[in-house]
Amino acid sequence: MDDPFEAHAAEYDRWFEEHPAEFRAELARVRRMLPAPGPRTVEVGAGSGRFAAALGVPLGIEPSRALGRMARERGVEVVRGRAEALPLRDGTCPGVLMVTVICFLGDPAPALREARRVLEPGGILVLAFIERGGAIERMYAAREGKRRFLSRARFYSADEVSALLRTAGLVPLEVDARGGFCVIAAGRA
Amino acid sequence: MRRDLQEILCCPVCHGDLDLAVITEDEVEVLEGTLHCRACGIDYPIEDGIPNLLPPGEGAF
Repeated sequence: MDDPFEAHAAEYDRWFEEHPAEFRAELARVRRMLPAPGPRTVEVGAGSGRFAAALGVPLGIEPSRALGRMARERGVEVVRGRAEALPLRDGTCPGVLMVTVICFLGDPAPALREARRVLEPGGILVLAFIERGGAIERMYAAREGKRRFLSRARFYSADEVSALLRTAGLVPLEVDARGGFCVIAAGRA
Repeated sequence: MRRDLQEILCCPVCHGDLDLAVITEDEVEVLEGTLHCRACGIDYPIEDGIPNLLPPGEGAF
């Protein structure tokens, strides 16, 4: 299967070392929204575990074997799984984190329904994404080298994501849209 | 995979319970084994400490 994250995991992971300022800024904005992680806080689409490890999120769901192994080496408990079919029981997670994940899904709706399903009552979903038409998307569109990962990506505006959340039975509680990167905290409706 | 993780894991297809069968483990966690869904009759492998709970047919890559 031609999965760019599987074949080019190291290249994907290198972004974080090549862009320390951007990573730190995104991390700070996600940390502000996410309740202090407990043992059952989960990152869905944990990738190589950079965000989960830095935030103290103990559990990551990730389809890619190569990225999942990198996350495990960073101390994250990894389960291979799909955002659209989470292998987690209903209502078990006080926090669910998804960072730059929805742009790689053919349809974000099933993944958002799954995030809602696994949230415990009063739990918080933190969804971070590159905004359609924003500064980051425009910058990457101008750099051919970045197309490997983003060529299949589909971007959404903050309003579009808020509407998708509501359709999935979630209520946006706070929206932080700046510089082309948006972080939304949402709870169960 | 730490054993206590089993409490929150379920089959990604039917959300049913999973039975843990351990092949190897160390003092911290299960390294090799399976998580079996009785309802679906599926064995999900645990390899190098990572359970593979991708829906069946998607675990090839």
